[in-house]
Amino acid sequence: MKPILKALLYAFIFIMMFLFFLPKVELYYTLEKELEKQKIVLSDERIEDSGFSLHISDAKLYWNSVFGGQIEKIKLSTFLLHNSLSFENAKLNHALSSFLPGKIEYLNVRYSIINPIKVVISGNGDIGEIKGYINPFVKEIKIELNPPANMRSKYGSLLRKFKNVEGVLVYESRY
Amino acid sequence: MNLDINRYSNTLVTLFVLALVAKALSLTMLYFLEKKGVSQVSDITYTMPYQAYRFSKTFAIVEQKVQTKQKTAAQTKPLYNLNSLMLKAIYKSKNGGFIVALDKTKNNKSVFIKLHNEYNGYTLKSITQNRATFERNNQEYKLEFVETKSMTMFKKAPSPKPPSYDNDVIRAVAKTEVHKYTKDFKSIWKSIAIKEVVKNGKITGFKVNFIKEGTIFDKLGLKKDDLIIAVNNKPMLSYASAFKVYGEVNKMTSLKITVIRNNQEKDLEYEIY
Repeated sequence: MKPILKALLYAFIFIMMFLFFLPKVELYYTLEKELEKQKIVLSDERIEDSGFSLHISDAKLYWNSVFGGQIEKIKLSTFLLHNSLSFENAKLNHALSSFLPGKIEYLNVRYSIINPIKVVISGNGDIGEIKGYINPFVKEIKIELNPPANMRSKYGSLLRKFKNVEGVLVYESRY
Repeated sequence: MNLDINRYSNTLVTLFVLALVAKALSLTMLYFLEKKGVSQVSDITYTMPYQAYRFSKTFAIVEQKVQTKQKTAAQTKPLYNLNSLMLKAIYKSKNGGFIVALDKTKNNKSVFIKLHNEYNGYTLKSITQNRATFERNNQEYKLEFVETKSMTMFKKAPSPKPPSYDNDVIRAVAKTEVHKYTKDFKSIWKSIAIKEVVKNGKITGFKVNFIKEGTIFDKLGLKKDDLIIAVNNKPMLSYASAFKVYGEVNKMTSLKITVIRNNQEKDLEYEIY
C-alpha cells in the first residue's frame, strides 16, 4: 500500500512540476495564432507567467482589424483537474455600443473534473447576469441571461436571439 | 541516522530527476509552440487623409463671433453696400442653409453666410431657390443670381424628391446631421439597407438595397442598387473598412463615395460643413 501511495505522490508532484514548467506564454502565443485564423487578434497586451497561471493585462481585442474593445485582465489557470479562464473589466468599443452592451465586469469559463462533461460559463456586466455551459461531447452551448430592464429596451434585437423560458432568457445552439 | 540521510537523499534525487524530466518535457513542448505573439499592426504606410477642395479653409466663413466685432467696427466705417455681393450659390435644408457669394470689396473673395447670421450689418433673413433676403434696420434687401452658369457648387435639395445630381457636383451636408447618425447607429438602418456583395469569397462592395425617402442618404444622391465600392478613395472590401469610415466620419470635412451605377463608376462628393 505504501509504495502505491508513494508512487501516486511522486506522480502528483511530477504533474505539478510539469504544470509549473509548462511554457504558458508560448502556449498563449499558439492560441493567438489559432485566433488569428478566425480574424480575432489580442494586441498590445502585457503577459506575465506566474507559475501556475498566466496573467494578461490591457489586451486590445480586434476582429477583422476593427477595434472591439479592451480587456483589463485575463487570467488563465491550469491545474489539469481544474482549469479556468477569466476575464475582468472588458470594455467594448464605444462605436459598437449600438449592438452590444458596453461593459463586462467578469466572465469566467472553467472546466473541472467535478463536472467533466461541461465547460461552465458565468459572468456579469451591463448585459446582466450570465450563466451557462458548453458541452463539447454533444457540441452544445446553452446560456441563461438575466438582463436588467434597460437591456430589453436598448438591445431588443440582441435579446431576440434568446428564448423566454419561464421568465429566464435562454440561448441554445449547436456548433 | 545514516539510513535516514540515505532515505532523504534518495527522495531528493528522485524529486530532482522528476523536475528534470518535467523541465525536459516542457522544453520539448516549447520546440513545437509559437515563439512570437500576434499583434494588430496598423497600416504604417502613411496615406494622406482625404481632403476635397475646402471652401471653409480657403475662403472666409462668416462666423457669429467675427460679426460681433465687425458690427462695432461698422459703426465707424461707411455703410456697406449690399450690391458689392454677387450671389453664387444657395444651399437650403429643412433646418437652415447658407449662401455663397463673391464680395467685390474683398477682391471677389468667396464668403459663406449662414441663415440668420449677419454680414456687414445685414442679417440673412430668408433664402429661396434663387433669392437671398437680407434685413437691416427693418428694411429688406434682396440678392439674386447674376449668372446662373456658375451655380455648380451647391444646389438646393428640394423635398420630398431628391434632385438628380450630375457628376462633378459637390453637395453640402450639415455636420449636425452626420453626428445624429453616428450617435444613433440604429437610425442608419431605418434609413438605408446595404448588403455586402461577395464574389469568389471576397467582398467587392456594398449594395444599396433600400433608401428611405427624405433621409440624409436620399439627399446624398445614393440610389437603390448602387454598389458602393470606395469611400474617400479607399476600397470598401471588408466590414472593417466600412466600420473604419463610420468611426472617422465625424472628423471628416469632405467625403467622396464611389459607386457603380448602371455599370458605370460614379463619384458622389460632399462637403461636411
